[in-house]
Formats: sequence, C-alpha cells, structure tokens
Amino acid sequence: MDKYSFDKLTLSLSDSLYRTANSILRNEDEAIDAVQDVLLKLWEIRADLASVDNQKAFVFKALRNKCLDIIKLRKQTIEVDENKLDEDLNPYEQLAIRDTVELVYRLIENLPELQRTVIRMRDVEELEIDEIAFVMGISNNAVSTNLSRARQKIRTQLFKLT
Amino acid sequence: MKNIDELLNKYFQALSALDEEKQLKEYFSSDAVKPEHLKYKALFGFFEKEKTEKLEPAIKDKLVKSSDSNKSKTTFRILLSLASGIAAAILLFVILQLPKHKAIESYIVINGQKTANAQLAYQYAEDKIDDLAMLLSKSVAPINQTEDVLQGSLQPISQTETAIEIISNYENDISAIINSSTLKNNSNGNNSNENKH
Repeated sequence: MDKYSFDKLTLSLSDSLYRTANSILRNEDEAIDAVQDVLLKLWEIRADLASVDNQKAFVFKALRNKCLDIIKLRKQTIEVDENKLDEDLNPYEQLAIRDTVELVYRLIENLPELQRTVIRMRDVEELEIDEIAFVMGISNNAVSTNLSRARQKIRTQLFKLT
Repeated sequence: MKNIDELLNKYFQALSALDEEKQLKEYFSSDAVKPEHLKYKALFGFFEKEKTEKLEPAIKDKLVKSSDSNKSKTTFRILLSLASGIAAAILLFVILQLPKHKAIESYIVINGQKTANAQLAYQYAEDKIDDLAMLLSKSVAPINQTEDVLQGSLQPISQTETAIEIISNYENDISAIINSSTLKNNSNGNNSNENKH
C-alpha cells in the first residue's frame, strides 16, 4: 500500500477512530495518542494491510486493542454501575437534560464497555455486524445480543427519565 | 418507507439492516415525526450528532504531521537497517571469499609457467638468492681491490708526513741548543767584566 492509499484510508477513518477511542478511554488526550499509535503501527505494516479484506474493520480492531492495552496499563476499571446516572444527577439536573441528546450520551457512556463499543460502532460508525464481530473478537450472535441489550437498556432508561 | 413501528421493533432486537436503520435516522431527523415516536427522537438525534463530532482541524493536522514525521523516522530506520544489512552482507561475502582468492592468487611463475607448489617455490627462491649472493660477491671484489690500491697510494703521503714531523722535531732541538749556548756566552761575558773591576 503506497502513502497516498494509506493516507486516504486513515484520514477517512480518523474521526471515527477518535470517537471510538474516546468512547472506550473516556479521555481525549489518550484517545488522540491511541489513534496516533495505531496509525504508526499500521504504517509499519502497510505492505500487509494492502492484502487485508476489510481494512476498515482491521483498523478498528487495532484501535480497540490499543485502547484496551492503555486501560490495562492504567489499571482502571471501565465498567460503571448502570444506576450511576441516577446517583450522579440530582432531579433538577435530570430535568435539565430531559429530552436532549445529552441524556442519551450519558446513558450510552454508562453502558459496559462491550455494549458501549458495539452500539457506537453500529449506530454511529455504521459498521456491519460481521465487522463489529471481527473488531471485538466475538461471534456475530454475540454482537447482535449485546447490541440488542444495549439498545433496549437505553430505551428503558430513556422512558424512565423522560 | 416501511412502517416505523416495525422498523423500531427490528432495531431494538438488533435484527435491522444498516439501510433500515438509516431510514429510521432520516425519519427522526425530519419534521414528520409522529407524536407517539417523539420519545425516540433524542436517541436517533444523538447518533446523528455524534457523527458530526470530529477531531479539531489543528489536532488532526498535528496528528497527521506527527504520523508523517514518525513515518519518515520509520522509513529512515528501515533504510538504515537495510543499508547496515547490505553492508554486513558485503563484508561477510568479502571475508568468506578472501581465503579463496588468496589460494588462487598464491602462485609463482617459473620459466613462464605458473606453479602453486610451495616447496618448489622455496627451492627456486633459495637458488635465486644464492645466485644473487654470488653476483654480489663478484661485484664487491673490484671494490676491495680499489680499496687496497688506494691504501697503497696513501702510504707515501703518510711517510712524508712522518718525515716532516721528524724534521720539525729536529728544528725544535736545534733552536733549544742555540738558545742555551747564547745564554752561556752572555753569562761568561758578565763574569769577566766583574773580575776586571
């Protein structure tokens, strides 16, 4: 893969990669570092990248692995109590964010990492189920199950809060 | 457009295709959202809003430039490694080939014919050195004779020098005798004058 093709691929994905990294890491600076590291790694293996069937999914997988490495290094749990939202927000704040996209953002951010990444990859980045399965290293059925759970959980909490 | 409720059901069961989900997003971003569907508007609105979240141009620029810089460094490192590898390979090749060349090139020419026989070569060299020594001794003999002749020629000069030295000694002796006799005469003259007085 030449420089032009590489830049075309990575630049077209850079925003998606940043959003995904930021969602997993919850830290803008770390997200940018993760994307940068992944782009560099991909540049080093660009010869192999040309033969990859689904380059988009491959890049996302490399990014997710990088993010998980960063999380392991900082030894922080990314799992958050699903009911944390209710505890974090007082009734006035809950009222203020009602019917806004901010509420959905908070609901998604409080999902377990697997569900949060799956729903973002599907509903924001618009990846196919098999692409998500490849990125996450799970089966298509597992992706569908987690996606369904995430969506229903958000719907339930959204209805509860609005 | 399919029935929205049907699409929503498929959506929440994760059975909808990407195209169907796009239809839902289009529907909820329009002004034609029915009142019973308004509760989903924020959800699909969030996804559309998230897509607009992009890296700031300055950050993206920095990211790409930094990557380019690292790419150059990486390329340089790869080229350096490659060059080092090639240099090492060439050196190894030369080292491996060196004894071989030496073996091939270690020969002498005797009477117009190449030979790699070391014993023969030593014998030949010794003979030649003996010949050379003999030639040298013959060449040195006339020089020795010349030296003898020169020595003979110098002998009269040496004898003359000796004669001159003897004569010189005689001269000194004669001068000393003359001086002493003069002093005697002067002394005798003075004594006779005193006696007269």
